[in-house]
Amino acid sequence: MAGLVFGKLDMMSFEPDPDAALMLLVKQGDHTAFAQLVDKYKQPVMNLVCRMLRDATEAEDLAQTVFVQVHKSAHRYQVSSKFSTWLFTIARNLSLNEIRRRSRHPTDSMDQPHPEQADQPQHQYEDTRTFGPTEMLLQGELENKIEEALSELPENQRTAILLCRQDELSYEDIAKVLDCSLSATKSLIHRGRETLKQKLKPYLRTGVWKQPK
Amino acid sequence: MTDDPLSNPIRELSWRRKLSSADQARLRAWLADHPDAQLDWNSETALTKVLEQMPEFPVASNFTARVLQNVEREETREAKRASRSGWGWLWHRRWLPRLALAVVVLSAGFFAYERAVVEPRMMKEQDLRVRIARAQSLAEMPSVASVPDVDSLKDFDAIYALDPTPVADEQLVLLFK
Repeated sequence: MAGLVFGKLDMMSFEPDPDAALMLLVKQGDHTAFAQLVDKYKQPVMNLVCRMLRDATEAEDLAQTVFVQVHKSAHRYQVSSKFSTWLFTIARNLSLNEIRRRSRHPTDSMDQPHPEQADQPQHQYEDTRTFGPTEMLLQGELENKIEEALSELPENQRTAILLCRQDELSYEDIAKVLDCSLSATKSLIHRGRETLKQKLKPYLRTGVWKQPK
Repeated sequence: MTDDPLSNPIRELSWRRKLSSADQARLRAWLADHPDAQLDWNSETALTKVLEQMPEFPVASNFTARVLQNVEREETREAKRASRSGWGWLWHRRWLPRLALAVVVLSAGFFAYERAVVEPRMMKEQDLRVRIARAQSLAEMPSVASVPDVDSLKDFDAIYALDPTPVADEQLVLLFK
């Protein structure tokens, strides 16, 4: 089936994007293909959503919603567009909706279980990072400073910088996610980075960031 | 951002990936000509590394399983919604008695309305139509039965007073005999 899909893509003179091929299978109701996409993108989506919402629990719920939305909208997915661009656009839009919802109802929390989700398993996290006590302290301080500085950036600058970390996204792709021109995107990244450089100046000079992970 | 045609593309490249040896050589040459930009470039490189080293947020080990569970739940909900959009849902045990009751109530309401409002109104309209027809026939009467001129009736009384029965001429009758 996947061979057939790739063949179809070649005939349509598109670059054979494995994600697009998987999405075609998802359109046909293939849950295994969908699980592969979720496994591949759960981490970058979680990173983006978490840094946009600044709440790990809410971010996990929203990241789940992002993938459910991807599955729901699979019939609308165009093979001509890159899957990761489409995915991150959905992730960004849902995060912005959640931020707006929060600003309207500041006391509401997504932590409260929905009645329909009562039978779902509890969150299970695993911490894969291993640091020595001193490294952990320094690294922790720097991480906090970076997260703080990032969170203080305007949303579009922050998202542009975070998406810039995704290898599979080109500047053109980032521009599509942000719904602005290529030059505007580069300008957003540059301005965001300038602000970060100013805020993290002492840390960047001391070289704390050189600590081994 | 400086407007230098060399540093900007290299800067943009460095945001995304490690510079190639050729790019690094070009950058070194450019920095040799612009020593004041060295500090800025150092912090640029340091920030790129810091952003690269940013930790990843933990993802639940059952994340994918939960997504698939939610998707299946969503699919079931969609399927139910689709089946309701046809007529099949009407025969569902839960909806049939309600539908029957609704039909009875609506029918009773319809007949009551017919008797209370529609029928009297129709009778009233029928009565009105009859009255209009009578009025129209009365209006047409003068044109149908034309009355003689008043001058032609001036000897009416005298003529009316004459014996209407014709009298036989007895002398003429005898002569014939």
